[in-house]
Amino acid sequence: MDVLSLFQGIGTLVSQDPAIAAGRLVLIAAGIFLVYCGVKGLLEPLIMVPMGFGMLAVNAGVLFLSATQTGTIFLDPLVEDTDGIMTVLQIDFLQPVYTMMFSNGLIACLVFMGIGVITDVGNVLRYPFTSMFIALFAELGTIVTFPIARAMGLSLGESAAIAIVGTADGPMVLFASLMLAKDIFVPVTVVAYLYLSLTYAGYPFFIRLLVPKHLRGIVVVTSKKGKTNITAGQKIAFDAVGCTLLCLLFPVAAPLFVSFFTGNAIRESGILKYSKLLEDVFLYFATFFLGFLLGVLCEASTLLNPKVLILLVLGMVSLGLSGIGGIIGGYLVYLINGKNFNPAIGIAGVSCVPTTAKIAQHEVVLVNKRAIILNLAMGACICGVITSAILTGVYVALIPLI
Amino acid sequence: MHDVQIAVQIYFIGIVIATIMAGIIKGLQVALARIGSKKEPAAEEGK
Repeated sequence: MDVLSLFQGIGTLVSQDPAIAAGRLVLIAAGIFLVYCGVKGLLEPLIMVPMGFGMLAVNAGVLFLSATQTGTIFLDPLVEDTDGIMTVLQIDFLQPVYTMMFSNGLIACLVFMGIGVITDVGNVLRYPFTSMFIALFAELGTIVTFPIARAMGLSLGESAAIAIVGTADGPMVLFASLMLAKDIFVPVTVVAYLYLSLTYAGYPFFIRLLVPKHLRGIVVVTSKKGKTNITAGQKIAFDAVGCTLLCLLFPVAAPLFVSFFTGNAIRESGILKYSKLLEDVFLYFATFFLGFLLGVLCEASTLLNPKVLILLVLGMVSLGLSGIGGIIGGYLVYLINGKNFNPAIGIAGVSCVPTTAKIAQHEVVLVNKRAIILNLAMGACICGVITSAILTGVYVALIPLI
Repeated sequence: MHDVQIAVQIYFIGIVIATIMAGIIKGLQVALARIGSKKEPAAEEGK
């Protein structure tokens, strides 16, 4: 018996195009590296550990499907006709999750419901204009990257999809890239999650570089309104009105809006069993499968697309510009408020709830232990989600019309 | 140039909607706070 037919993962490596075989080996190593970084806490472990395992397994577990064809029994993202899907659903073990949850954006919506449950919108209600102002500046990358991507030769949909990485919202990027550029949604989403994991490491340096120590240590004196108690009823009213307005304006992105606001309304209505279900089950279930499926979708043949290098550069540009934009917004509020504002809060406007707010607070406390800015930072952070949703909605609605 | 115009348009639409949202949030907060403050004296009178 031919040994290479017996051990088909190795057999396919030998018989495949050398470029694909080399790509597989690189991606197996990359998968192991992601797991290492996740476990060590260098990258977001909730995404990186399952993603790394998915990536290494899908590139190692390639077999001969017929005499001339190689493939895996994980999933087939390209199958579209009903008969084909029905066949693949019975063979590929992850195809049910992919077809029923991933390709229609349900998984992104489940993550958003979970984010809604863990989000306190009270800080937005206390400082709506300040928070929204900062969040709008923190969308700099989402806007500026679009023409840059166009100049680099990407299509309208592809440019919009990679620009949305600047919103710093993984589910948003997944949703938008599925709607606007389905052919490159895997590399775009992988790039987005990879860079979002790096915000832990990168944004603190942005703050240290752009905000001098004496400004980072500013204690923000809150006015009377900053101390007012926002009731659950006010928050639920905001959820209902906000959801209705955004759904009216952007029906295309309505699944994302309703997921976020429903999650938040459940939190505020005190239905503990639903809150626990959405946070402990839905959010972690969806995050796990999101990471795992993204890893499985990282097949060598998919990622050997020459556009991937451009996407890697543009993703970094987009997130970097958004961070800088947020800090510029922070500086403007500092000047408008008569220097009674900490510019470091600006980075929280980038969204990525609650990571950026925690980073801002951490950097501020390193300089001045009495400076507590988390409430203001969380307000900007949640408005970041809202402005991200608005701009994603505008992109998704407008681009197909051009 | 055309792409820059598209980006500027998208940002402008975003700014308008975000400002409307912030206005609505503020309006809601003020309205609900007033309703709350009217209810409190009424509840006290009931006592």
